[in-house]
Amino acid sequence: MKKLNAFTIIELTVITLLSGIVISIAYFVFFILQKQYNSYDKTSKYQLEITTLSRLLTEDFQHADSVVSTSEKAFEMFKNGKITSYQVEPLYITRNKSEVSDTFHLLTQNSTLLLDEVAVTVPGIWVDELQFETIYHQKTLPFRFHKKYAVAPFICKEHHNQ
Amino acid sequence: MSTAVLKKEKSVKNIIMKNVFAVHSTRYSVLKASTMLEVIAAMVIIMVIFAVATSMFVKITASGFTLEKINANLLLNNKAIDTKLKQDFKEYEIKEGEITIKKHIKPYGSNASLVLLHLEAFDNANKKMADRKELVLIEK
Repeated sequence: MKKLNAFTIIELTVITLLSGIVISIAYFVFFILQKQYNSYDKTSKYQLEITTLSRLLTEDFQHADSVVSTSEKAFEMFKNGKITSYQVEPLYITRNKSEVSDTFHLLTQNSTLLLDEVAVTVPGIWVDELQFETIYHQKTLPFRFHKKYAVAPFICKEHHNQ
Repeated sequence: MSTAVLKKEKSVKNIIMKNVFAVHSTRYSVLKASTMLEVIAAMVIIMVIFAVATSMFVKITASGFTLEKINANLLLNNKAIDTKLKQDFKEYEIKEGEITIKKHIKPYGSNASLVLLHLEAFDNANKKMADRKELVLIEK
């Protein structure tokens, strides 16, 4: 009987086993990396949303001539005749400016509008502070925006009301 | 079958077997390859580069914008608003969750109605997470 140069059945079995182990490790690593990437992507999107919202609210609060409540969870900011309005809902926050609407998909709770540290619940009242909390992965981030008014706008408003 | 035919068949078989053997026989030759020292040197260089790259990656990842840092900045913002609203210029060190907040108040130059508010946030490992400096007007 002629003897051919070839792999034995044991060699083939060992190679198959090794290949199986290597492939399973590669798949496991790929699965972990994919999970990590999804988690990182979700977190970075959330971070981008909250940093953008924080920057916009800070700028709008600081630059506005006045901030007026339109409901318990909504308010308008007036600057040179232009209005920027915000609505804080449990599942999202919307910002409307010059017919452009932005929606921030954030879970929020305890949103409160305040004037002199007293909660404002009636529409049409000036507010100097906005507080709310966002929740992400059972972590609560406290947001707080405060506006210091000059005396002149208050006097003008009083005159206007009279 | 005649003996001549058998002989011929045997010789043909021998020729075929010789050719098969010639084709499948192992031929040893000197292969061009790196020496053991070269291979070890290359491995060491690769490992050093990998270690440097890993440490750089870890440092860059840690220096990024994390939720903990955002939370620390938001807490400092709250403390700054409280300081301005309540005109509370006492220095303190408090712990809020996993973050320790230190508040420092320093006079600002020769102006008695201005103070420099310096807020710092540290994590459990005493690593600074956020820093905020602000000039505050003393109203009362």
